[in-house]
Amino acid sequence: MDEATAKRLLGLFVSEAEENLAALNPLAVRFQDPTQLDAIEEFCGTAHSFKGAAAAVGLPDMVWVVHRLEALAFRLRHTDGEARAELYRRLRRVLELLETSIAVLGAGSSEPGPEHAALRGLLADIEPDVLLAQAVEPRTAAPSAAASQEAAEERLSVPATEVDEALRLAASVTRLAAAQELDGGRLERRTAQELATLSQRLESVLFNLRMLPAAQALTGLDAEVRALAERLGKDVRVEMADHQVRADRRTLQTGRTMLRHLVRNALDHGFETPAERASAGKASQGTLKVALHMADASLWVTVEDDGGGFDVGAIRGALASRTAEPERISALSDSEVLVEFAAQGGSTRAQATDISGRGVGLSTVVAMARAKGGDLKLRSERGKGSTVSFTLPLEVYATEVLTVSCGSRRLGIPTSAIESTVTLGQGGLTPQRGPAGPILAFDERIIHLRPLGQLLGGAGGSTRFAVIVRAEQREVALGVDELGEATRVVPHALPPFASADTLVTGVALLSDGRQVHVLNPRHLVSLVRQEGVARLEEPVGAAALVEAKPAPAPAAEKRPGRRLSVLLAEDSLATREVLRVLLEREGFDVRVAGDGQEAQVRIAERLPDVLVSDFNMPVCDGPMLARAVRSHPESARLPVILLTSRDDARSRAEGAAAGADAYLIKSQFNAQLLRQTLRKLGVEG
Amino acid sequence: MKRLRPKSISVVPGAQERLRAAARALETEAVVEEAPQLMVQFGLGGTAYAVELSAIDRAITQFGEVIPLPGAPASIRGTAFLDGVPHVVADLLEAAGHPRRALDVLERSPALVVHREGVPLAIAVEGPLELTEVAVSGVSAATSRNGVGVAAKLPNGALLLATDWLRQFIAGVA
Repeated sequence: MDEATAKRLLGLFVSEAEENLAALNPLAVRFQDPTQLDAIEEFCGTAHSFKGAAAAVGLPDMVWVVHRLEALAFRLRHTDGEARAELYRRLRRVLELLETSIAVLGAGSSEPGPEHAALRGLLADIEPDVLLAQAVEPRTAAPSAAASQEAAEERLSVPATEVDEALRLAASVTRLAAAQELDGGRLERRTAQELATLSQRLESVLFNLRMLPAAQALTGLDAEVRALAERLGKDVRVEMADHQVRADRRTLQTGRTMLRHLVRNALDHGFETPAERASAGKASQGTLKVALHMADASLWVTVEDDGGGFDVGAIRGALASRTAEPERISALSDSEVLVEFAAQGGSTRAQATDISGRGVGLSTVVAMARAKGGDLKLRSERGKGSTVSFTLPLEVYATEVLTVSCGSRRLGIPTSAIESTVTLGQGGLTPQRGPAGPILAFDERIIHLRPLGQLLGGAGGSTRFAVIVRAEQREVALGVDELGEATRVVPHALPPFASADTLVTGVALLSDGRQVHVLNPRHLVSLVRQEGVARLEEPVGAAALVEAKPAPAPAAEKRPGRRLSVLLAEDSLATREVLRVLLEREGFDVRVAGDGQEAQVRIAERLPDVLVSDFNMPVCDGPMLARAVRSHPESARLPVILLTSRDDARSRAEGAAAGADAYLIKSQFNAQLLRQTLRKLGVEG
Repeated sequence: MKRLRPKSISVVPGAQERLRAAARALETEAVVEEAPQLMVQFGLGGTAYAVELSAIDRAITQFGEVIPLPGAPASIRGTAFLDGVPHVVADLLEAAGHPRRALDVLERSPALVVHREGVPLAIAVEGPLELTEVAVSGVSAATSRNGVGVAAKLPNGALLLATDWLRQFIAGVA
């Protein structure tokens, strides 16, 4: 690493370490009170970030100190009386000395100062690894109110030059405003124009302090990876893709911290050494892919490695034993098992390391994502590698919204979550009746439609337009009276006592002085789908697209067990959507395909538990699909059920000859019949 | 929008306690000499009420735009921007047992502004809104009315809100 890069990385580390210490100090103060020890998890998560950053820039002394600082905090939990008070005093002193040490580094020294001798003395008797058992205990404590308050007061690091520019502009605006006040309150046209220009520039400067190219989260990452890989005796190259995303500064700062945890975990636990890779028949150099993109009003960060992957079987066993819920754990998919294990701070390693710890890193990422309203997904294949994705919502701080009206309500929907807007009625799309309420057939998709005003507890209004909103990879159409303009707003957060259910993420003022409530796309989608399920429990009228069979037991009474995945191949959009809804309602995990060719692609992506296919389809019909499935070794044993409207011997014979396992009549088909058939075929959920 | 800005007026703390003492003294025909206290007087369903100036942040003569907040508890009528800052809006008239007012009526109502969890809460009342000086010696005892906690009756007949009751009302807006 060249000197300039090393210096730049050290500068980044100092800035981040200052923020870490600013977070650690108030948490440490809380340890005085023995009832506040739940903050230890949060303390260690932050210390862990600190430690990882120190490791990344090659400060082994600092790593040594912070590694033991974590252990010291864990030890507080298991001591009391004077011993605890002594540990607490020591912890505060360590933090004080660390502040000095960081200040020394920030002043230009490339090495920690003499205070490190004092730190080593203070921490000499702290042995980190004996605390492994405590570190991997399940994390169940909810963030305290005090922690939430601290989060709300999170600091932003911004360039001083931009703040200076904002101050100059604000001073100019104030001067003009004062001058016009002295002038008797008359605002001359020229002054008004000058005020408007200055205000816009001020807004732009302040907005840019918040919104930055997401690529900044990746700055220096490649150099960090190379340095860490070298230390670990591994050979890893990095591929990065940022897709020109812009995000607010705080989300990016959080994302960067989470990203580093994942990268360190991948380097330390995921990638094999070149020799191990060679013996496994892999290229000696590993590849780490990091991608940022924006979807569903969130920043998505994906870290993919081609290392050894997780031992899901071992993890499933450990989780079953730890939770004492073997039945529930056995019903989880591999991905769900990995996420639950990660969330609990679990590790299958016996020894913590100073690079990525003992599973705390991954659990920190899960906790951070969820605390911000995002989520984490994890996929892994033994021997082939792992992919971790996390999301962070963007709309909380600064966002562009489309304003819409429903009756007297005026609302804002983040444009990043809007797929499209359509006109309803004459000259536009006509809503139709589906089994779970009104639907829109739009762009080869069937989308649930609900009047937004009604959904929010008011009147339905005239719903002249529909806004198609996408979140959590699902779409809904929201009927509105009027469409307004797309405009950029910085919403004010609402207090929990006023918006406990997160339906409204904030309230903002529009340029005309009117206020608008900014809605949470995820919550809207969830509301529509909940209402859809509720409607499915009601008797279905004559106009329904299919005849619904007697309702099954309520969801709460459904038997426990693994969700069976169904691939449904059906060329009729309406039938496909109706069957999908009916099967999902019965607890099946349903994917769909429009014909036999698409079904083969879906099967190649992921093998379902059962294929349910229409008999007659264009391009590749049911029997052809069944033959294709049987011809591939991976899918040769996949149960195939053919659906047809014809109940005749010839069709049955043709289906059987193609390799189908069962043959069901569409008019009789329902989820219960599918379960019965699967049971007969030996497929149990 | 006209606003009453009481921030510049200094207030003697503990006025309510002294008013209560004065009311008790009156019941025993004792006379207490005290400096006059500043009160904000308002209406609720045709009855005049007052609140100690020190118990609120400020009072406003009318809201401007109030819009309903989706998903909010029933006791929250919506939000309003005052001086560029969003305020959660509740209605004291409704808490006093009167029917719910339409939003356009609420928008023209005066309000008392307080804070809850660091967020400004505007409590709609009825007019006329007045800032008055009250001689402590002139108060008399009074009982709570229509569920509204009352500490004393002022010489002009207005009922003084009990600070504890107001605190409970604020905490219960959810």
